[in-house]
Amino acid sequence: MQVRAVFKKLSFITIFSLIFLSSAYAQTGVGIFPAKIEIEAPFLKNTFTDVTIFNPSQRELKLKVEVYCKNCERDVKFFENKIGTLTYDLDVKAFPDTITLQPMMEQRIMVKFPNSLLLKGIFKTTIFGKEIGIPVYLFHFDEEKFEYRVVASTVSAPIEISLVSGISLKFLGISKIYFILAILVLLLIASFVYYLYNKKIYEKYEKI
Amino acid sequence: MKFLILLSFFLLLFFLISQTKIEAQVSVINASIYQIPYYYIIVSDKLFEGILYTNETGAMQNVQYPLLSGSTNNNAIWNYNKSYQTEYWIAFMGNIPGDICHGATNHLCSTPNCSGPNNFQIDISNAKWSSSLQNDQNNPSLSNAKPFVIGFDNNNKVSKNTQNNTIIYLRYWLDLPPATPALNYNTTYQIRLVYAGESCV
Repeated sequence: MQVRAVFKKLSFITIFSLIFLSSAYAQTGVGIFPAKIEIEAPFLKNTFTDVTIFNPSQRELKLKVEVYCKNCERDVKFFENKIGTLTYDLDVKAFPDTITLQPMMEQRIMVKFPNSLLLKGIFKTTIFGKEIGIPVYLFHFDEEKFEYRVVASTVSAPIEISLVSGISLKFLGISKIYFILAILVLLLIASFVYYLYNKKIYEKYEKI
Repeated sequence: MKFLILLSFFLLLFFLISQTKIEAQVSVINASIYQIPYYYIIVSDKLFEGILYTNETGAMQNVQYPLLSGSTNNNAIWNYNKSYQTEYWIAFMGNIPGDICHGATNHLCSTPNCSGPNNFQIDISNAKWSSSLQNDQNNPSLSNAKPFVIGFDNNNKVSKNTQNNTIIYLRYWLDLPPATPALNYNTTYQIRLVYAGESCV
């Protein structure tokens, strides 16, 4: 693991050296790495990843950083008929969300993916021609796959340059088997409690 | 007596040291170079200044003259420099291929945010662009020009599967519909870099 971390660091240094050495252009530019990330978010934990935005040019740049989900909106069907859409809101945050990059400088952007017990979502449907949104909280089982994007765009510039870093997120949830087992255990406990309660009442009336 | 005790102590110490094997375990390192995918783009100074349109005479002198209503194929100022080359280009660098898209945030409007009763607008499809990997009088050419769209043009990307160290040259033209009021029209030109095969929107 340590070896991997050292190699990662070395790779960062190599990339930067190559980029900045090869930046013979004095124009305006912006770059990002990693351009693609695959991560796994464990259940009930916060997962962090970071992307680095760099300025390989001679001009100061102001950038805004946004994170958005590409496939968080899913169709909800009832007997093969679409009845609405469910949009997951994973509360993903990027920090900082605005940066000023001096020439030949880089900035790391931290992205946080919280994985709580219940996933928040908004169910949107149309009733009598009027669109309504209902907030819902859902259990999520095994794993859900989400495609996120970190987009860094220049602001206060005559033209807008934006770069995208794609994040493939494997969002781990409760194991279906464990969930069924837990429900069975709960049912057993509940029925046992109910049995004891009945037995007590029985005994009480027997005494009378 | 003391001497004997000390001697025996040193002998014991020597014996222990000589018996102690120093084993250095060299762990096998299975290390491969950890390649981090990265990319970046560089935009030419003239492109970063924005695309200003002029009539054909102006194109040769790189001066922005008022455009004539109803005129077609008006050049962007730096479509041609004195060597008949374009000064608009985007350079791509990276260790993975990328796709470059562009578009406009809005139609060409005479008021900020295209709002208000005094706003006049020119449909963005009147603005055209062409790209090429060559830079001469004929390339990028007007005959290959495509109209601009609002947002990012995912169907007509500036460059697909772009490899490291590629420079894409661009030219822009603008048609003016007849009876266009003589005003200043603006929009924001936007460029987006995504990894190869990805949608820009």
